[in-house]
Amino acid sequence: MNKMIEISTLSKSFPSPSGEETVHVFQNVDLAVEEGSSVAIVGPSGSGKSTLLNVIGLLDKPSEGRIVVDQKDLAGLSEGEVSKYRNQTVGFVFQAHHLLASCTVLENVMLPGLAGFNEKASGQLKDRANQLLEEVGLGHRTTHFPGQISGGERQRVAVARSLINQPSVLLADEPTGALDRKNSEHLIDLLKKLNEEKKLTLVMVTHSGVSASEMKQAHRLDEGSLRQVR
Amino acid sequence: MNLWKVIGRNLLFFRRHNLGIVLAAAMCSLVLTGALTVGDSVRSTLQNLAETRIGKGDIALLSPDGFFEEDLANRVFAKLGYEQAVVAPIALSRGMITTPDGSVQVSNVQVLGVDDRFWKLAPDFAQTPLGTWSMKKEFRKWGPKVFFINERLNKRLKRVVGDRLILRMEEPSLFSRDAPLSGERDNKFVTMNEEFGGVIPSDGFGHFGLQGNQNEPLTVFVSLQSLQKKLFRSIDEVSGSTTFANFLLMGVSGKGEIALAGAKEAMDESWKLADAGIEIKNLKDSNKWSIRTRQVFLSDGLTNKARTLSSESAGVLTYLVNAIETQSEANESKLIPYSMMSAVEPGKVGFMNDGWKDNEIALNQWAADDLNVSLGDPVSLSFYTVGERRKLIESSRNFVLKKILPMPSPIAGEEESEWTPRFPGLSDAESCGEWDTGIPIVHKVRDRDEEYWDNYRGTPKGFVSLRAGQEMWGNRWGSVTGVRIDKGEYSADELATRLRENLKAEDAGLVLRSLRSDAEQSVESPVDFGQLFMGFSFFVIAAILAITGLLFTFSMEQRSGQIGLLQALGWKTRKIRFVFWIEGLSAAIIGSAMGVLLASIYGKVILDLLSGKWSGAVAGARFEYDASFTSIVIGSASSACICFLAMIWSTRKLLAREPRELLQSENYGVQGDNTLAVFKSWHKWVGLIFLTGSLCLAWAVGLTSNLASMTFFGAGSMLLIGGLLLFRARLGRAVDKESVMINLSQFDRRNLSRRSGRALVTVGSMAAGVFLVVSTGAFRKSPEESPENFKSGTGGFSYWGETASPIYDDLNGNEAIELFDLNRSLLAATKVVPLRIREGDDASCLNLNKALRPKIYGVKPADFTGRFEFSEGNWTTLNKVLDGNVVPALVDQNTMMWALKMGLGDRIQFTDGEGKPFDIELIGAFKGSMLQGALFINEEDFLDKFSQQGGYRSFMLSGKTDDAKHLAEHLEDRLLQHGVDFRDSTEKLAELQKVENTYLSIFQGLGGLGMLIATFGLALVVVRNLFERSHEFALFEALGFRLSRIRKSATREHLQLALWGIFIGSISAILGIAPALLGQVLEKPSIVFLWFLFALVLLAFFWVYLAVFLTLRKSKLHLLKNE
Repeated sequence: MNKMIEISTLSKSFPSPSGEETVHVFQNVDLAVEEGSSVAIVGPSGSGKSTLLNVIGLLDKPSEGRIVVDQKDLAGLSEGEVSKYRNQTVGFVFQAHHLLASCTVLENVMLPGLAGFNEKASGQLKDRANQLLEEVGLGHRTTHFPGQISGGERQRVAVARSLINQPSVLLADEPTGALDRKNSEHLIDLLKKLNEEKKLTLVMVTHSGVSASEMKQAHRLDEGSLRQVR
Repeated sequence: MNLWKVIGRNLLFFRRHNLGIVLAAAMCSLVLTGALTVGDSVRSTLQNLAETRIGKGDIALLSPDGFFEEDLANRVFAKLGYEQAVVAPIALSRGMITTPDGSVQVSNVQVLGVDDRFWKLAPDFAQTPLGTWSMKKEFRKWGPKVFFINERLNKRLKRVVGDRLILRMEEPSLFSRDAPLSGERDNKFVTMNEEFGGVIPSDGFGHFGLQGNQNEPLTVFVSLQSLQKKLFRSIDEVSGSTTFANFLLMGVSGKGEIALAGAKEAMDESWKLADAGIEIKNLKDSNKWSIRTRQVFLSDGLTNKARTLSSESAGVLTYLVNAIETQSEANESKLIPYSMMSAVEPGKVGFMNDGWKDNEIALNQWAADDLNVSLGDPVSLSFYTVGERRKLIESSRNFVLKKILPMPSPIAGEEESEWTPRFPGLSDAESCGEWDTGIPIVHKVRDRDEEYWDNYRGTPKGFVSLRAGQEMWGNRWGSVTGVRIDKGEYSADELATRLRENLKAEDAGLVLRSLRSDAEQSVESPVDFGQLFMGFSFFVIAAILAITGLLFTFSMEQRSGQIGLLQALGWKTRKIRFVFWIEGLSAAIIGSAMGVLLASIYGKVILDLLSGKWSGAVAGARFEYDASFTSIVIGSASSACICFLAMIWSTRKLLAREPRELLQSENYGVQGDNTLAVFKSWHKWVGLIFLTGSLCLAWAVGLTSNLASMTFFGAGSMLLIGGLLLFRARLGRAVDKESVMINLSQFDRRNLSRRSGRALVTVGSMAAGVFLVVSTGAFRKSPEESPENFKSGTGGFSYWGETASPIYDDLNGNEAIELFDLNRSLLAATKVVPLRIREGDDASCLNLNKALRPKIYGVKPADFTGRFEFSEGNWTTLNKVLDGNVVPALVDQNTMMWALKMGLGDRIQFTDGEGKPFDIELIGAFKGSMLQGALFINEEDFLDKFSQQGGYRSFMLSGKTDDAKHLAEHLEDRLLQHGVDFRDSTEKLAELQKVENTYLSIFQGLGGLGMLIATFGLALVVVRNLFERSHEFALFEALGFRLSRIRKSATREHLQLALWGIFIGSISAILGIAPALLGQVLEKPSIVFLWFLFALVLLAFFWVYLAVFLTLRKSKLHLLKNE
């Protein structure tokens, strides 16, 4: 199997508020995720799980180390390339769904398609969004606004949105953190299904042991270092 | 730690937030205080001008229709009892000054004949011609052979010291030249040719004048004695005295002030009958005293007062008749030319008993013999009376000879008959050939008539009853020429004392008025420039307040977490509100105090503009900056208060939110009302109705209608409303569920729709601001294109002129044509309409001072029929008879409303020629005319009230403009010595309109400035919107949108707001000013409005770009990070 994500000696640190010391979030982290795999990253609060995910998604910059995603070294990318990477290579699912209140469910899903990186005609984009919403079980909610659907449904819309540009990697940051157990299970099932059926590489940060257990691999980030626990 | 410390720490900690509020409050205070100080400066300048105008003079005695003995000044001074009092006699006249070659001539110059006493009352004696240090060495010594002139006159004459100047004035007559037998028919002029001695500065009394006006009169100062010798040479030909004056100025040369009551008391004690021209003549041939006046005819007031002294008093009226005539039995006519006749009261003289009838006449023996008549024969008298416009009307009356009287003793030397007053041009004549009575001599004067004159002078050749005489010769100047009182009742002194006791100084025309009080009242300008500029700065203030509110709200929203926390910790909302509001108030107070320091800049800039670009609003006046403590306190306090109120209003909803909501919004502010705009079809339909209605209205009225300016402004307003409704409908369309958003432009619209209220307010404010600022130009008054139009502001008069000296004859009539050698063909083409003038304050918008006693014009209503537009009444309203001593008047509407601050039915008190008060009631008003600044009364009323003032000084020319122009030039040439000066009526009207137009320009200028400042508010709205949507932008970045693309989208979205506002406002405004742009009726708007729109668009781009750049300069991705 090809390596979808290869991280080596990755570190993230920032100066303390006093400026006199350096706070190390994590140091010399190595991680390799195979294409189509699903990985859970667990760890206590403040251990740097989300930061690691943000760094992989290029929402944040590493202090040191190397990241290769889909055989592409992320070091030294221009602003445009970074945007394209976020738009085309990875899909994000956040703990808070971050849907736009002024747009319908369908439009929220279409949103990444408007970033200008793919040449899809608006009709194609709409069809794809409808298809994705069907897949996440929200085909009947396309014209609703985020305020008119439940929390679980919003998170599924966020998942559909993350898939609109057919990314290679899906990065999910505590996707069930704001959901009840039933909705959490539904969402994890959905993510597993996408991972299995679409061979989508999934990296998920979670507190939940149950959710983590649904992933093929699990890594624990604690005291700045990452180790595989399963 | 207490509440105040919390507030203090907040002020310091959030200093960057508060700095914006401090700056906004400083701007507000700057504008408010600056505007108030403009008012202070205008007031203070007018006050200073008034003080330099009257100097140390407190009281004035002006006798415009007569004169008095100069010695009255000494007598009043003696009675005043003030240590350093000065009573200066002045000979005041009007004239024309020219250079010897006639290359420069200035008409209507105030001529002041003064002596040393006058200069003692100057604001600064040192700067008078008698001053020691300030007068330049090259100036001539003050004396009888020099003219000194003031600075304003020197600007016109541009002479150097030593040049010769010629001054020409009308010689005053003993009584009105309108009156019968007043002497020569035309004016008598006196000329002075003296050296130009120097220029009197304002502090040296160069600004001296009686009328409150920011522009000093054009004045030439002449030695009193020199002027008296010229002006009054014919007043007392018996004694040859010329020591008369017609004006007294009283004041204190040191510290102190003369009170009006004290001056009146001194005047009452010191004036003599001779001052009023009253004399008591000792009739040698009779046991009577005769009370007479210099003015020949005794006024009714004097007659009544004189007759109350004795029940046996008798009135006498002596008059010159053209002919005493009879028909012989052979039907041959015999006549005696030009004879004096007297009318006496039957029973009061020995030769006329009680039973004397009004158709009976007594002739002396000489006349009876000459006519060869005997008792019972018919005798007729023909005589002239003076009709309208000094037209001589010959009338006759038939009598029956009742008595033939014996001849009196011959009159010796320079004596005159005891029945006959001294008629000018008659009594002094050596022979009948020298008579200069003002009437045409058509009958041959025979040798025997000359012989009679040599022997008996003006002895009447006959007598009729007083009633018959008054019916024939009574006139508005009086109906007797003497009142006889028996010597047995009084000695001469007793009679004089009793008569004087009966008369007040006012009754004799010696009316005092407080110059100081008038000056103080006059500086209360009808226009409060402080309030005016506060009003003009409305847009600037509104913009600043909006910005203050936005800044405070913005600051509060960013600190909403703090508010939520305090609420969560159990603080009462009232207490939290107190902390935040006091914090805001403190910032406002600090800012307002800072603004006061800068207010002088705003005030000075405004004053500079008023002296320059906006000088049309103040008729060229210049102001010195002055700020009162009261204005500073009011300005800064008001600024702090209104900024504080703006903060309260803008944050009233924020403090009412739930703590949970506030806590959740920490760090990214409270989300605004995200309710999506809902499309409502009525927005579209009503919008379309307004749009269509506005176009229909404009089309129906047309560009050239008289109603165009107001109608198109209304149409523009409708278009503005329609445009905003359509914009609202467009916002609703943006969220149509049926259409799926397929590009970012749609997303921008969707975002606007999400904050539809804010978007509509922003667009509406921009549109309304642009509309008001630009379309106000539609109300600019345009120059009159057709002055010949009777209904225009010129009333169909193409030229309007004034003379320095009056003209007594009708310029359209033969007498005047012959007298002045006028061109008949020019006069046939153009009608000259004469007006009488009673000088007074200029109540037009060109005078910044309050007009206490406006100038009065006496007009013949028939001359004006159908002319000028009226908002109320018409010319015939002047014929109305009002109850009491009230005269109806017409006035220009602007003058009535703004200068006089009066309405129809209001009255102004004046003093008539005899010093008696009367009221003028405003009963009608013209609209937008050149007649601003004065009251117009019926000529008959004018003559009734100012009977001693003769002639016309104002002339309007009606006819084709070219013809009128030629006539104006012709009259200026022919009437040169009268100092006539004609002006194009359209120019005069334009000068008045310029004031109004400049006010509109100021409004537009400051309104435009306000709008430009308001664009900064747009930047704040953008920042606020973007700030609220920070998470959204972070998401966009996470989804792969480039930051530059996000910025572009945000810029596009917010520019839409500005551009829609400017577009709707501009289109509405352009419709509003279409008549001016495309029609021929109104003044073309200045190109500046296009620059304004351009600047507005440019600034909108700048602020939006800057706001977006600063807000989205850095990535927002950090907001998505959970840890």
